[in-house]
Amino acid sequence: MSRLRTVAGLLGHFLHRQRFFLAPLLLVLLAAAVLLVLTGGLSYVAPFVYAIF
Amino acid sequence: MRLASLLAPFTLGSPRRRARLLAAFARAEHASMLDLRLAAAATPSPARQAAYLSHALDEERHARTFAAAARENGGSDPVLGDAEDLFARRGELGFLAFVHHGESRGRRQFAALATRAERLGDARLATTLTAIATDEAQHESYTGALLVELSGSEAGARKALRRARAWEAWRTFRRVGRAMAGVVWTVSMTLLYFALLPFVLLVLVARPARRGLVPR
Amino acid sequence: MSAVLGISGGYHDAAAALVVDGVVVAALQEERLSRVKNDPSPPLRAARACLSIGGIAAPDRVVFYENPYARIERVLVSLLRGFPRTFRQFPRAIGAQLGSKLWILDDLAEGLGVPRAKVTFVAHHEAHAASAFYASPYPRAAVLTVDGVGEEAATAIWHGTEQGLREVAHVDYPCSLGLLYAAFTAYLGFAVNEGEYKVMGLAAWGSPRRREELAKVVQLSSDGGYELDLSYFAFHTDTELGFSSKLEALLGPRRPAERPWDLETAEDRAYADVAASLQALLEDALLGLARTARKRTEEECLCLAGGVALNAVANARIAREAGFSRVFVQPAAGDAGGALGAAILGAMKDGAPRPAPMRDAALGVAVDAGEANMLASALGFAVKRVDDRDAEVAGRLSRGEVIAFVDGRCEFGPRALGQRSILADPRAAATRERINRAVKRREPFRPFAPSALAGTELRWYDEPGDDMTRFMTTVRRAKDTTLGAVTHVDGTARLHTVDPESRFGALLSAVERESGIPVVLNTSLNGAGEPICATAADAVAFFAAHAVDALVVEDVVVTRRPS
Ligand SMILES: [Fe+2]
Ligand SMILES: [Fe+2]
Ligand SMILES: [Fe+2]
Repeated sequence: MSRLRTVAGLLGHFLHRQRFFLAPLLLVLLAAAVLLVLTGGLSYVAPFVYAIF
Repeated sequence: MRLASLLAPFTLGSPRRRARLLAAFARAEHASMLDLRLAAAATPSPARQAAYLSHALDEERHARTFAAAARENGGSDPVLGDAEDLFARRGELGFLAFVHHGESRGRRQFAALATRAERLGDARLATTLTAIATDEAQHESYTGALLVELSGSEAGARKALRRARAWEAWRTFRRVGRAMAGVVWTVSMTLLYFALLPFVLLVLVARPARRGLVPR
Repeated sequence: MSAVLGISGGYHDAAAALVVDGVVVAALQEERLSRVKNDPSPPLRAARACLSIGGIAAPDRVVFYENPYARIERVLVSLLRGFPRTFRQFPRAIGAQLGSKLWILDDLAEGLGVPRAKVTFVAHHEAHAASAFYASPYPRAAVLTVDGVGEEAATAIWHGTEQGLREVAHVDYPCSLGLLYAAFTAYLGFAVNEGEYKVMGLAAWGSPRRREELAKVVQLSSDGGYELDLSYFAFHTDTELGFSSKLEALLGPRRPAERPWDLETAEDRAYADVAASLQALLEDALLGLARTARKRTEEECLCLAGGVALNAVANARIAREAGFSRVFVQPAAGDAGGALGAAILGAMKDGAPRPAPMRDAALGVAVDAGEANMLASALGFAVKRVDDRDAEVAGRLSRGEVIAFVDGRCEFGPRALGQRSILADPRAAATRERINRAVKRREPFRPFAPSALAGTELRWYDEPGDDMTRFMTTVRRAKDTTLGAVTHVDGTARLHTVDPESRFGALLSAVERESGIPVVLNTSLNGAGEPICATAADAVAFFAAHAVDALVVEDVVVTRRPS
């Protein structure tokens, strides 16, 4: 469960004082993560043009 | 083989379909070239390294030929294929079994399509396909010999082939599953997206785009 | 002893770099080993190759070139800002982030067998800045990093001193010069991430007569900043297309990708004018930034990195006009270089000294001439070993042969600098056509570069070499048309000056003894759309597939048997 470190890093980033306003966005990520687990960890190919996302 | 000849009128019928099919072949040949190059870099035997490299050169040529044929039929440059690195994932014997199996299928498919193209009056495409099918027959035979050599017996080779076919079926099953999961994901995420309006307002207030040079 | 592995990847060319006790031991792009051009996948092959070059079993620290959390924040924020036009992007982008990109540090830890706690990251533009400043010969410098986008910044100005790198100012996504260039690359019908060089080459065929119109697309401000008018673009809402219909309304319809180029036609010349206008706009924007960097830091030297710094024509103009006395560009200016910057930053943080200035780019895997010998023989080619390799190559070049040349360790970055090169005589313009036909199959507006012995370049070019010509990251104006095969239509050349003490320098001396001039045509050893060769197998496969006259791998000479 070393991935917890990454989860902690993500939480820490969004709960940082300067970005406190954005903490609710964690809800979006949480909802997406639940969906992702439900749909079974899809693998995505990078989009065609300049990969910015 | 039967499937390929049944599908041929549909796949070769219009130039657009023809271009799409040829582009798909180009992609598959390119992917197989990449896997063979990785295998050549990974095998411990210099003789097999040379064999895989020369095989890779054939597939590279096939990819180029198919890409050119696709362009002639009005298609644009095909997207390049991706390596699966079967050598690393399945070991050398598993890799060889898979390649042997694929070559045999490719040979039958190309030969059937060549006959079809001939009948449809495209002699050029027929010649191309026949030439490539001849190469694939050679690939099939040398990988078959290597399979026996590496597994130690005919029976061992057959067993490796059975496992390769089973693994391929499993892979197809997983791919279908993933594609279906992808559809579910896209639909549900699109629904989620339109529920995000409050977050849009939040971002516009909390994080407006900064323009121009921002001093630290 | 401390070994720090730097890693870049996930979006463009993935790479690994290894710094051991403050010495850059190895740096290599993943594409060279995976054979997938611009391979963005986690560069485990390259990382393992770097470790084996350094004789290191496991690194003490792994440093990724970007903050994955800040990246996911930017992706989410920009998707929401683009509501509701980003609805198509949303599932894909979030799926990619949560499905794989967020977990890159874990993937690296697992793939390399390193404890997760030892895998850290630095900021994207900081890695770029470090790759330029700490590889440069300058103790202090202004640093400018310009690319598509990292986490959020698309451009940044830095001040590099004995104390380290300090950010002075930055410009945020979506105002990005890299994405501006990418959008025009797509508009002109080239593949994004691949065709940017073609746009630069094409610019020389046109004149910047549309510069005024482009002032609407990008506004430059007096403080050195710039702003994109996003209504002309679509990269922030739609990854299928970088530009919007408004850009087509302004400049005319986009160029269809399939149509072959013919610069005799008025239509294609009009596209060349667009490329030239874009080039002028980019140069103006970069000059503004560079002048601001000069003013804010009061330094005499400038370092450049980020994908936009691969624009050699713009670099030449910055060197002439921005007011600096010296300019250095990291040769792997794109994201591959971020791996090097990340490794150096990690090592210095652990107390290692600043590395020595970069003298060459031969940081990759070494070639095995014996393997080339074996493989070429097995494929039925004629193979011989020679005692005087340089004399052999020089003799062949003087007879007009085109030679695939492989020597030592492969280059880090997109330029061939005499380790994995195609060489030919630089004089006859017809040579260019021959190489294009046999190997590159590329458009007429892509020039080939000259490699000249350092100290002799004033015989052909207007200005002497500098810190950039060593790595082929700038251009010079030719005095005449003697070197016809390596002079672009506008009279410039991407000059490479070669240290006479180096192995490639020794070859050029042999060429001078044979032909009277210590110059060769030098282009990268790869076919159209392929990564540059790395190993002996790559070189032999290249030789088998392309109609060059000979392959020379160190002292092994491979030719075709007369049929
Ligand atoms: Fe094939
Ligand atoms: Fe084959
Ligand atoms: Fe970058």
